[in-house]
Amino acid sequence: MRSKRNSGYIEFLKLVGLATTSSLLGVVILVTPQTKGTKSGAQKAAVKKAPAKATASGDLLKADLSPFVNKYCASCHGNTSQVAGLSLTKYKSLTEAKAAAEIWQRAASNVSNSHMPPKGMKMPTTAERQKFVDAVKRLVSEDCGVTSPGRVTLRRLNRAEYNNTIRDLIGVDYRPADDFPSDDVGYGFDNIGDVLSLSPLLMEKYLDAAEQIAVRAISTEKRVPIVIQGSNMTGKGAVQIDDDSADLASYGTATATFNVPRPGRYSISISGYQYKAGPDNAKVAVDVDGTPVSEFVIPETREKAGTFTLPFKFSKGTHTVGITFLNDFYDAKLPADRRDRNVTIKSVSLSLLDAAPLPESHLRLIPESPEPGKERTAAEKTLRDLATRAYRRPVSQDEVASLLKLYDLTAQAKEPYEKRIQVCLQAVLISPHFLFKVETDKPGAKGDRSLTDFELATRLSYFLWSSTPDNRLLQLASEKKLNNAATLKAEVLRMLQDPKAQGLADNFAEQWLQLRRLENFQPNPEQFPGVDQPMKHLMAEETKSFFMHVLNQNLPVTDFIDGKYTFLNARLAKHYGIANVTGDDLRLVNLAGTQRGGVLSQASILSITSNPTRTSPVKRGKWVLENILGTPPPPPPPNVGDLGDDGQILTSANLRERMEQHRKKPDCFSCHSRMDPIGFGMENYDAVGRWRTEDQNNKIDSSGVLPDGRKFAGPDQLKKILLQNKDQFTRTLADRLMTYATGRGMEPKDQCHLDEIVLTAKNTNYRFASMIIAITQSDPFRKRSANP
Amino acid sequence: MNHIDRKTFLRGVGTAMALPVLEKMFPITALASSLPAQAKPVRMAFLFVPNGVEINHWTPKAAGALSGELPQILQPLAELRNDFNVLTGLTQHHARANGDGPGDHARSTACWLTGVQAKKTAGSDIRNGVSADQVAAREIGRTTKFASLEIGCERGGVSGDCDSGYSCAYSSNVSWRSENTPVAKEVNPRLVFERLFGNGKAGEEKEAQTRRDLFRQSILDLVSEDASRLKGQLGTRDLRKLDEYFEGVREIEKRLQKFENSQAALIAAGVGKPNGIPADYGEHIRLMGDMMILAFQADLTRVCTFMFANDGSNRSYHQIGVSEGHHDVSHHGRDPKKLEKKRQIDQFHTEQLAYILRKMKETKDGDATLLDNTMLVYGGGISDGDRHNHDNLPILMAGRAGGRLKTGQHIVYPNETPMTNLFLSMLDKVGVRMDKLGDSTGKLQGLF
Repeated sequence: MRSKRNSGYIEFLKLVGLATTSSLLGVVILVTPQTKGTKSGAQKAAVKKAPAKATASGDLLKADLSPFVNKYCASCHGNTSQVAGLSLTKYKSLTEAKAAAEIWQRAASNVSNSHMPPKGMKMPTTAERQKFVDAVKRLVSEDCGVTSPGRVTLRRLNRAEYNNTIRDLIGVDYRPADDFPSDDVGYGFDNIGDVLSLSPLLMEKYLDAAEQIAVRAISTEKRVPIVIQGSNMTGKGAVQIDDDSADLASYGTATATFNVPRPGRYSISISGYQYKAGPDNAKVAVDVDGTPVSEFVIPETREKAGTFTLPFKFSKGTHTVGITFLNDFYDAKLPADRRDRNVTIKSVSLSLLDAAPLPESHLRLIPESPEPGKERTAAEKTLRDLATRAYRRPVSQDEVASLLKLYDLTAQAKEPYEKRIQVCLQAVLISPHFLFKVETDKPGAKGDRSLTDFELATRLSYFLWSSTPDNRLLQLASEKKLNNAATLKAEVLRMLQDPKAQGLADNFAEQWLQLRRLENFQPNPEQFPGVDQPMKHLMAEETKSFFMHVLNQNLPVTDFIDGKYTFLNARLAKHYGIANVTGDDLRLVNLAGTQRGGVLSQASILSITSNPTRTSPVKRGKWVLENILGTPPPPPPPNVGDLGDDGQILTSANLRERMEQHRKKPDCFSCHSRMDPIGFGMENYDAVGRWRTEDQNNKIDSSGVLPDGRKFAGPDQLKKILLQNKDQFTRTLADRLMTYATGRGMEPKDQCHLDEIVLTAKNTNYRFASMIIAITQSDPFRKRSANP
Repeated sequence: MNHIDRKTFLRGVGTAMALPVLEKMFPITALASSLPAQAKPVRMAFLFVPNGVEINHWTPKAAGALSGELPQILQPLAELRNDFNVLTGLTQHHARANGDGPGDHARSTACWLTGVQAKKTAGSDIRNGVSADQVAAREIGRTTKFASLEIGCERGGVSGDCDSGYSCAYSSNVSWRSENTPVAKEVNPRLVFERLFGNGKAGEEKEAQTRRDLFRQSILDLVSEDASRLKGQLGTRDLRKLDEYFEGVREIEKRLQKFENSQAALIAAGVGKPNGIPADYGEHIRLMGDMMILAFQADLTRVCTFMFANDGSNRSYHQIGVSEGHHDVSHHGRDPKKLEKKRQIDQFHTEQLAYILRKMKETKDGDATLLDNTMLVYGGGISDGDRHNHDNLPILMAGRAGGRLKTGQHIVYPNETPMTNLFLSMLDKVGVRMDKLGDSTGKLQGLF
């Protein structure tokens, strides 16, 4: 995957129109919202200046919306009945109606899809429907020129972001946040500022994690030998311990005791000399913990001591090295200086032979140990660089000063240099400037402002990488270049080609498509043997690889629905009954000629929308309405039974008939007539995504009729229908992307921006990367409002 | 390093700070264990189960003493019948829609201990009330290492809308520290253990530990200053987040200054650290129960909330032969087969409860047992999982609150009695005087 990504880069640039060649020119034209949005900049300004078109606006409610509502909606959704808690007649003025733009949009979408009015009621003509939908569009878009970029609440890093940030900032391969409490989810994502809270428990975890990261990142391992002087050894037999040595006068053993700090291969080095006497040199035996390991002779004499070394593997803990004098010699007849052979041991030392090379994380912070006297200067530079990268912006002199204060205290506590940096690193890692993506306002600020280049770098990197900005982004930000639209676009393209863009699959795709539900999906093992944890993991990987492929190749987002390819390995291919796929690695497989294509036929989605024992057309239909069409059905009213696994409530033979019975209940009809047919269209895939033509000996009927009368048979035709309105799917995706990118839920005032993104997508053949670029160029992404 | 060094150290960082030297010399935990038995503290625990119960097999037939055959779901607790009460008629009015539409699972969870109507939002501007356990923790948690302990067996929502427009923060937390801040829970027994007793640094020398704590304190001082400087440049909602940050820092500081837990270390050593989350759900619940009991026993906290699962949980119960999801089963539509499966799930939960209560009863606490010195509420915020009604809630209360609580009764209150009245009474028994909690109308009669 990765190599292909790189080699495809140029191709990719061509596709998105950055590296245009004559042959490609015109194939795809990337249109930024600025140049070809709904309104030109000048027009926008004009709208801004124009006072609200009071008369015309008043007419919109009275002339267009109310008549339709009164004629077709009010009998259920009027002030008296308020079915599903909804009244469309309660709006007295256009301002009130605008404030409820979301409700009107839902209504328009239901009317446009023929979900409403329900069967059996008076039906509007197609022209009437269109007129109503257009009126709602005007209601919402009328104020597009004066719309606000919105404001995201101070966001802390979530678990995935924390892990990635530590990986990229510090360079330690360690996932501390896996032990953090779950991040709460809002608007479908776990990176929403308002929802991400910081409990004392989490604060504790931050502090612990900072400590452990510091220990892993910076080595304080003693690389200097551990030396035991002769004077600190113990003697047995004819051994005398002196002030500066251990003297072996006759048979006896001098022993050095070590506390070995970490296991590993050490070099034992013994320094000493002999008093020469007789024909031989002195000879000693070496033992470790009492077990003999070597013998050696000591030719050196007092004038120049010698050193004998031998390697030995120690475990952690207390060990002894003993030196035993083997060949004592004494001849009183010889002259005094050659009469008595003795041995003197000056010292025994251990030095680690296989000290691990310093980790990269260590060298990043401490490239070399500063010379004595220059530590503080080195620390200042280290801490300034560290804080700049950690806080994703230049740091003030005050900030450096307070870190240095901490440094000084650790220095006073006589901690070694490495430990001092460890402590300061901990402080940086629990600083609010690190834990939160800080965007500040000047006190009393009003109106909107563009993000600073650094704030923009942070938004970009957490959107596309779920991680901290790299050096290049920070460099561009410091040059104030990132806010330039062209630079921004080029950076987005660069970032999407980086392996870190996997963050989009891991965090955006997993949540948009609800892949994380696979974790809790427990199919009945008797019916579905072999769908174990690794298999579920493969299913998710298939969908994520597919997602990354659409992104990397800048393919149309409509491929999510009907792309005739996927990523399989041997095991997954066997699950699908697709031949000729070998090996453990997922690889691109052409699906032409199979019954599959797009995420709706992938085992991941088919499984998470099933019950443990059977498929659930309802859940599948609901999933499509929510995540593809963006028209989630309301939840069922309480106190209505659903289907038994074995059909106890309803008596018909097969699931489809039972559901059709169910749908006859008026309470159920309006939603189930939307959900069920879609689910039926996917019935050829069983509860774990395998193709089937029969279910419990009943032939599968995968035909369906949508509420508006459109008919289909089988998944392929269903997908064609879903793609008849490409903008609808694109808008759902734009909404999801924008929510994820900004960390806040989409509000009515965001609808104009979403419209622009959909338009850009349309003008670029729905190419995925172009859509992401449009998001990063939009006001909600690049600006913030001072007003909540 | 001794206290004097520490003072010097702190002054160096430029923070004037009163040092609780006395408290350090007389650790509260040690103090508690040396108190005479009658002064043993009363603990509070709240155990939550999701998706309602099969109420026909929960509610005892008659009011009064719990004699004769108990309803099926309560049968695992038969031998403990003199140690608990069943309370019928309690209601969480604010778990109801009251105009907010669907979302009973999230709403009733959020409301369970707060009695407040949670603001319906998928994310922006989360608002609920302060929960009873946290009200207690503010008072009786001041003297223990942890003001309160929050545990459970399921992490928060994984993706998607948690319940009909309610953020997952509502459906996965019963404990709320402030209107806007749920208290996250720990689901891994190993991590609970490490949090309570330290993570295996038993061999760490005292001096190293002291030094580490001092560095931590200085680090916290530094970042608090950072955070303070930020204050002026943030909006209201941002400030809420920053307040959470400050609260977290304060909690840790409190612990650094106050506590040494020689007694806790002894207790921990006798148990050993759990490995992680057991594959078997029953074992997971029991192990988390063990952690709660250990924390009480060592007096590391006196307040605990424990969610067996999040509301709306669709976990399947293979181990008892129920392969469908719990939530699917709870929408039984009066189908007898589903009702039976629901009963089995409910009974599985009370079996785990029986284990926990039995163990508390076996644990000596001064002259009495730990169960005697506890008030433990067990139940949920939905009565019938299919109807999603929030009156006649299934609530059981175990323990004697240090001898103050009459047990062995089925007490029937008029339906619609606010459940918060129960909490008000409980808080009163631990010395927390409150006029009102959520929708409470007064204290609950007949219990104490």
